[in-house]
Amino acid sequence: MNPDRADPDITELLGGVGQVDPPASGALETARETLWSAVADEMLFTAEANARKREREAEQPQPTARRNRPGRSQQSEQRRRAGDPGS
Amino acid sequence: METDGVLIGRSVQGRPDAFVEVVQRHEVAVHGYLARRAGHQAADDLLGEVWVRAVAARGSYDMSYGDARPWLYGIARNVLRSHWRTGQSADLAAMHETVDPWDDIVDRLDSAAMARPLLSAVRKLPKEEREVLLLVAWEQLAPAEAAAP
Repeated sequence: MNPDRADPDITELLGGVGQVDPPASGALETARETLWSAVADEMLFTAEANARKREREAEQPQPTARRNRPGRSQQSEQRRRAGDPGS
Repeated sequence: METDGVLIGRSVQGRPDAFVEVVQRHEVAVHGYLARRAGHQAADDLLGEVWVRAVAARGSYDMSYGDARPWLYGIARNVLRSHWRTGQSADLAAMHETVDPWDDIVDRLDSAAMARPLLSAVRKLPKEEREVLLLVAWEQLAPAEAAAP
């Protein structure tokens, strides 16, 4: 079959043969509930995985903050001002 | 209106509920696809399985395709194959490389006498070409969409 062109007579005839009644709304709702169940499972799994990740991050020791000590250059400057020859 | 590709992309990026809108757009069409090939009752039973498989496989969807129908029909086709396989005995299933449900379809649709020659002609097509033809005639896909792998 040429994918760019379909015989309109055949497709029309076949289209008539393939007519089906529309689905009952209950059938669509039941299928949607099945989908929602799968989606809810996935969302729950994702939420639990995120919670576990946050817990692990919270349990890890935080890096200690650097104390505000005067740097070497500041110490040298203080010694220089004090006339310390060691500077 | 956002395309199916955009919604599926969003559903992959942490919003799986966005997929429900795609389903609502195409549920009647996919049910029709199933009903034409396996009957109304089977379509009712199998539609949920199509959605479950689709939501599980959405990560592989090519987001550049705006219309998800050809992809959903492909999933529906696989669900039908599984359905037909489970209806056969294990030995019979092993004898057939692929399942061809066309005889069942003809039985169901054959009530109109005028349809018989047409259906006989369609029966003679290779299965892949028949599926493409039916996607165009029954599911209103463009021929190029129907022929895409």
